[in-house]
Amino acid sequence: MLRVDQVVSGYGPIDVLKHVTISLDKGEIVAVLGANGAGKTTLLRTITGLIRVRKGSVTFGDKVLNGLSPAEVVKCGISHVPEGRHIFPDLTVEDNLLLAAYAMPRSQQKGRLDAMYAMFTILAERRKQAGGTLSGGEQQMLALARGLMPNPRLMLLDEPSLGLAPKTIGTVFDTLAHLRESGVSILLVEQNAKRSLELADRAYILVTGQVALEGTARELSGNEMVKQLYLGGTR
Amino acid sequence: MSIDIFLNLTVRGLTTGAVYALVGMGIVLILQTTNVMNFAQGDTGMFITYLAFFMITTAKVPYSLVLILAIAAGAVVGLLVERFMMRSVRSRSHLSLIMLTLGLSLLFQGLAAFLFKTEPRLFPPLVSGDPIKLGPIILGRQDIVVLLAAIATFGILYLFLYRTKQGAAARSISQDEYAARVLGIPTPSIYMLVWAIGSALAGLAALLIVPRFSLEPSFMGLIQVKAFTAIVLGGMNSVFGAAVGGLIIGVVENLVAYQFPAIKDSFMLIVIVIVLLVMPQGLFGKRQQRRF
Ligand SMILES: Nc1ncnc2c1ncn2[C@@H]1O[C@H](COP(=O)(O)OP(=O)(O)OP(=O)(O)O)[C@@H](O)[C@H]1O
Ligand SMILES: [Mg+2]
Repeated sequence: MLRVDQVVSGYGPIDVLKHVTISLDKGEIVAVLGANGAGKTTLLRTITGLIRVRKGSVTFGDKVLNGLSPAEVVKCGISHVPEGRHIFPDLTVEDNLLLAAYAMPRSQQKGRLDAMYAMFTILAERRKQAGGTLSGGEQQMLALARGLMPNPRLMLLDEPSLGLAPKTIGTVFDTLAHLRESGVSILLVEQNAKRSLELADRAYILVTGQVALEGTARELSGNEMVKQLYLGGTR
Repeated sequence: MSIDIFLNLTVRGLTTGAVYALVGMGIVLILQTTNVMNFAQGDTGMFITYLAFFMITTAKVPYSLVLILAIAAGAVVGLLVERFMMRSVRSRSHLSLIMLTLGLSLLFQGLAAFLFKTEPRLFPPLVSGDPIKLGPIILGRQDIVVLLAAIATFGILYLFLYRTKQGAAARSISQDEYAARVLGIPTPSIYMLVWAIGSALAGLAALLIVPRFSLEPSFMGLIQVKAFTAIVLGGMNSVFGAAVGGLIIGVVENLVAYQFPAIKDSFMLIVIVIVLLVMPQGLFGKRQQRRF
């Protein structure tokens, strides 16, 4: 469904991604793991058109995404939940959600909003509250709900468990599992390698802008290098 | 100062303040959404007023139509400025954006001086007729129009910002532009829309004000400085603050001018300095600026 083919992209004079190739099939959860600065966020930004593809191509279904604006990519059915959540602090929870479905007709927005409130009851309770007043966990739920608002076929998630308490991390991963059941494919960038590999079908390991390793989640969990570098001790 | 004089000075100050509010609201709208201080706001209005002047005097277009055309012309100028000047520079250097608006201001002044000469021209008021008496207060008809226009503009801007999805998008951009782009909000079209609205306001404001002065290339200069003062006083980040700030400055200035005519204009600069020193967030501002 998604194909990133030999993609080069970066900032200013620097290429961060150096011929990255990854793919994702319908219904899959694919994890992208890697150390700080490996280029995971850059990969997601490149897919959603926030930064330009310099070489190679990004295709979604039979549509080439190269050169599309983020607004156009969302319309194709891809949503992006950014690292650090980026909730609009002074807008209400409801406005945060509505803005995530900007291009959608009002009648449909209403239905999506109800679906989000049904799925995340905490957001329904806080609908008129300013986004900035939510707790970290609540903000992450809001960020996930914003990602779901446009009814995407593919969601790009950038470190959804970052900075959350273990119990909330559990909730986030449960939500992702639930999303897979409902037919949304997920490209998941995470530092939490252990939980990601438990959830994902396949994974890629990114090292300084290149795919160093790829395979099924089971293969990678058993890989010695992965164990040492990403699963060792701390988690 | 008798109470009658005080009342008259205050009300007339409000009508002057309404002018600053009109100019200030346009500046704040653009500033908040695009993070650019538009130093060309006043002179955009000045230039459009010249166009309006010739429409009225030479082409004999009816005044009400001229008003609509001037607002439309302002919107078009705003669109063009954002599309062909701001957009290409935005991603490269923020400071150059602000310098660009300064350059634009000089461009309009130079163009006006070159095309229309610098000698002052009398601009006919939108409404003529005897002043209206409300008890002890005497008010010119044009002054009432200006006051009503400021109130209407405030209402329309409020509705735009808080009742339309484009307005919500503009507010979201002012809080977190990156997030707005990530969510797929078409930020370039919102920037264009906001520049169009802001510049349309510039045209409206200048046209309403000019009968009180005379039309010349520099007539908006001081008014823009006062509008900036209004914005600083109001807290830099809300249309509401700019409106109230403008009214307060209009009134204070008028009272000061009555007692101490010599310091009328410099007084406002002193106000800016004091406000910045004592309460940098202004009357209605947020303590921290989210954009920086
Ligand atoms: N906006 C930017 N401008 C310039 N360089 C950037 C920018 N964002 C990231 N970089 C650089 O690109 C490289 C990859 O960054 P990226 O954010 O993609 O890494 P990451 O894998 O997401 O890291 P982390 O785990 O810390 O989030 C880094 O060297 C970073 O300094
Ligand atoms: Mg990152």
